[in-house]
Amino acid sequence: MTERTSEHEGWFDGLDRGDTEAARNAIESRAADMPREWPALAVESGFVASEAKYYDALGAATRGTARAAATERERADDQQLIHAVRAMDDADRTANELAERVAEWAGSRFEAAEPGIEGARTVAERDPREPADERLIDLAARVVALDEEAIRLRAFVERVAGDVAPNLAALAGPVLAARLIALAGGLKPLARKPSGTLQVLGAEEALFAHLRGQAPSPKHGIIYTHEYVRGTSREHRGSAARALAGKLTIAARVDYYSGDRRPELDDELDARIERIRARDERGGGESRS
Amino acid sequence: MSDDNDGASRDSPPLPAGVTYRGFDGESRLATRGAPVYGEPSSGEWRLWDARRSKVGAMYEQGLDLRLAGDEKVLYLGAASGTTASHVADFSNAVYAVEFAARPTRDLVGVAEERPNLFPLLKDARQPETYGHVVEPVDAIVQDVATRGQARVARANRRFLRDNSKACSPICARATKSSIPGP
Repeated sequence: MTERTSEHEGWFDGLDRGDTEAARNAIESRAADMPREWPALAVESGFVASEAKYYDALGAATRGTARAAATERERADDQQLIHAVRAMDDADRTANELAERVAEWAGSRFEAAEPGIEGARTVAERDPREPADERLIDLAARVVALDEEAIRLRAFVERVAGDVAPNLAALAGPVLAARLIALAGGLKPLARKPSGTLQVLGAEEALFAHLRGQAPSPKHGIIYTHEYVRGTSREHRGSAARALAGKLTIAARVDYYSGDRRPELDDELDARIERIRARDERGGGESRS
Repeated sequence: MSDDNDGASRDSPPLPAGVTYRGFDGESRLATRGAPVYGEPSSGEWRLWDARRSKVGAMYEQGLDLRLAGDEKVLYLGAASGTTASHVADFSNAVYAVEFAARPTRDLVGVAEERPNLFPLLKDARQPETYGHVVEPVDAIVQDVATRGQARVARANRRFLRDNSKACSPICARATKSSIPGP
């Protein structure tokens, strides 16, 4: 992913015939805004003796690259995604916790110490004057580094979630998709859960309180973080959560059993939520679509 | 499909060289020349092009003129497992087949093993610059992407068309409303 060369280079420029690794790297990471007469250019540059030979080389290179890349992407594994999203949450939480400690300590030594990660960043940039400063500033630097790691983990989760579960990631957003897979313990168990279970994943405490007869049933679990639930009026939030959970369940099943992208699911969900939200405008919650 | 339509497709607009009607089980069906891919019946070196499994095949069966003469260089966007792309490769000079999903790409590579003029690319058709260094200027673009913003994909890939080429046939899949009458 590091190679980025001139706009005027073809995939073959500077390659040795038969170096499949280099060919794959060139096909995957080079770029060109405009196509050029690559077969003729390849002959001109001496990469191949004739255009017929060029197409042989192109065939070998594209087939090898597509096969290797497809295998790699298919191996993208739900368990790796679960580790990554949990690590992301741990890094976030720990960074915030330590940032509070830094703020409290900094308040006793410097003036105008801000709270949170931003506060830690300011502290980390100070020059130490005493041994205690050194410890405090060092700790603040660790908070900053941990926060940056959390950001990198999030980027990783966002990339991998789309490979592991393309439809679920598209409907739920990559991070929520990863959290749902983590709560279920994998894509397969998630795909096997009924929609009502997915709807309250992450609200186990409330659910068991309800089952003991001490509380009303929870309307939503972690899917509350989805705009379609949170952004729907209180009165219709239960309906929205039910509709969203239904579509996410279908998406998880398509991802697990088939693996191809079904964009019509996005449209169906959008339309469904639109209908639910339209009830507000009509001023009634009487009908259930 | 109505009867008069059926009759029209046999005579009127020209099929590309390499596409023809052949008899399969006593029925005249669309066929191309190449190694079988998905268990379709073949007769001699010709294999059935099933219009129910291929939108391009269906367009020919409906008598649409895609303005392909045969032996073109083609950029095929959304090649999936290569069912249709394999038939297009049978009558084209070279086919650059772009597919974004990993699983169908595995099948597409299998199809390409048997066809030296089919070049599979695991790329996103919305980002043409990521394959501009591989794809040469082409005579035609066939688009069958199941994504929103298909028009945007078509426009972004216009840069691959040779100046004098007319043929560009974006095929709207289920993702948007189809403008092509189905069989």
